[in-house]
Amino acid sequence: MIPGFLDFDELRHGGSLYLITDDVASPATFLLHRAIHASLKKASGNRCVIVSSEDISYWKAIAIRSGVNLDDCQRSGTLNFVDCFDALSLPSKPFVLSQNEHDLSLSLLFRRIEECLAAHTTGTPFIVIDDVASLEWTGLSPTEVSRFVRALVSLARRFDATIIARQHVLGSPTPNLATRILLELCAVHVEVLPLATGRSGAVTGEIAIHRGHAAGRDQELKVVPRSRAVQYKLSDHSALFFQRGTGAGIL
Amino acid sequence: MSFKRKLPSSTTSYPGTRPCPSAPSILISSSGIPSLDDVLGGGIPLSHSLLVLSPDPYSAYASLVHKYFIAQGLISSHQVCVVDPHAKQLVDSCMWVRGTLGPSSSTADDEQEADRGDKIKIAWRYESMRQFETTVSHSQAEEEYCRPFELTQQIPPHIVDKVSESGQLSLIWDHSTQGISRLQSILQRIDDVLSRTRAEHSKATTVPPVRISIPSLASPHWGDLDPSTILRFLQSLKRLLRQYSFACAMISLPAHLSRDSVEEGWIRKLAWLSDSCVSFAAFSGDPSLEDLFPRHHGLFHIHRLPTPHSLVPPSDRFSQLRGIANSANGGGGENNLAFKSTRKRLVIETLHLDVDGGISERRTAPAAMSTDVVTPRPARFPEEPKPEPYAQIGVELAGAVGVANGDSAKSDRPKKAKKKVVFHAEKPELYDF
Repeated sequence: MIPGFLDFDELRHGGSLYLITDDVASPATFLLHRAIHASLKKASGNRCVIVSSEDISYWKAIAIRSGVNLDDCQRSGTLNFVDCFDALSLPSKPFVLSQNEHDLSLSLLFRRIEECLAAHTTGTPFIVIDDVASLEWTGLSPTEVSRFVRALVSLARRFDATIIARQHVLGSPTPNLATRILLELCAVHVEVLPLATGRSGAVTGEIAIHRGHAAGRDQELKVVPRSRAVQYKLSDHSALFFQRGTGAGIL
Repeated sequence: MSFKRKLPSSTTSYPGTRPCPSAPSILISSSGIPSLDDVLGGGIPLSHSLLVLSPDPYSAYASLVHKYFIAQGLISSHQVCVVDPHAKQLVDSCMWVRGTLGPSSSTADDEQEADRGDKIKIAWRYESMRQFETTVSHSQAEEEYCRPFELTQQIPPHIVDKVSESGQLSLIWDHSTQGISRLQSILQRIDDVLSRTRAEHSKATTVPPVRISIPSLASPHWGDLDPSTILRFLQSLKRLLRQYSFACAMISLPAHLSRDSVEEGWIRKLAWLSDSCVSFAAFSGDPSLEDLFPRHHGLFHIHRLPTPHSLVPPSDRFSQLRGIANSANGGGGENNLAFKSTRKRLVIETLHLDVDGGISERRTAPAAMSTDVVTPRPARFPEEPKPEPYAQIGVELAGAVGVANGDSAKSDRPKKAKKKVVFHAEKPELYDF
């Protein structure tokens, strides 16, 4: 097992963007949970803002198995949950499917995130954006989504916050506009990959870590190339990481 | 001292449901097909959606799966909502159980049918052994959860009338709108049905599960819908189900929208915006695959599995068909799956190569003693001239003369003395092999 791998304890601040890309065969939900739990368990007063289209009950159910009570965190103000789906819908029409009305709502979503960051001035803010890709898939224009991403990174720099954004990839050799913007702005790119040989009982997937364009000359960043990708196996609420070929000794 | 897992009090299960094996706070309900339940990890989790794709335009396996889903809901006294302009015809053509519930003889009948279909010649010593099982069978103990429907039985008309009059069956469609407005209207009606069900049973300990069946979303009857609108609808329905812990949905798309050719990464997008996504890829459109897999009617693909309150799908641990749980220690892979529609039921089973061409039969070089004595090899070219004898080459070396021909080369090496056999048998011919 690799101790301290992706435990997000040493997150860089000052508006750093951690980009996590994944595939439907190897979802990176476990990394988002890992980052949130690590942030909320710290006693140094971290504040977490989760922006997700998934219902909060799912986040709570996973967190409670790791010993993190999100209800208590919400009451104490260390956690803000922004329901992406509600923010994209108008109150008068809960099932808005038309594109025109969406053009208003991304700014509503942005303002809601800004309010959460401005609500508390103590502690280190930490923003988790669950799913950027579905914003574009469900009708928003790529330009609008890329503007939203750039505005969010600028907002994070203003509040000295760290962003972790998950972007689904579709297996295309050329990434779409939103992905290209995210790759350009990120300091670290964590790539969660499925096994090339298909699903396995012993190994769930692989993780590679790349330096982002915004990383600069950070010598402390540990890069894991695809050729030496770290493998992982998921349990109901956590993940085990190990080097290739060492799974038998750990599992 | 024995320990029992303490279940939350809210997981009192309604008939036809049971707690999810990996997340007891979530209830699961049967799809009506035991092998599909096994692949999903026990059944369809309530408050989740299942997208069933059928990319072959010449078959209707997705519609068949919906009929199972509807029939299972009706027989388990669940509320069933069917969203389709021809919902009545779909419900009238659903399958049903055979007479009274009793020991199911369908497994034995299917085995006989399979044997009758392709009798493999096997050695006499193995004839009494059963064939290895490639699917999960219907067990009598689980008949309360998943009923043994038969395709030869049709739902009685009086049952359809009864469930329609009682309100157990709701047929939803909006003829007055089109396109996006129709989708919004249908979502609103589904929300109304679910909120009404919750209100009616607010004082009861359990709420009857509600099954929503959308057998042909975005078919031509729905009007012109672009891909982003379809994805938004799936996302909206997924969020709607999260608000009601007693509802689940099964959705299917027409064949032309069940392929990756719609747009880049289409199937992946569908899988991301649904809780689970599977496809029944029939062989009807590809005769070469029919010949390659004569015992099956199509391949079964898993794009996404439900993960109710968990990072890992319960199917990874509990599915027998997928085989991942069995291979966890050895590091083996997942089984390939295929489906077939027999006379009585639709079955998903593991896909294996036939005797001819299997791994045990694979050879990279001909066997040492192999001679083709079964059938004489016909002459490829009847008028092929016979090979002429090799030319004799004479090699003359100083002090040594030898003749080399095409059959064998004789060397002038000093001959070794033959080993003498000490044992002399009285009947040497017995030991001549």
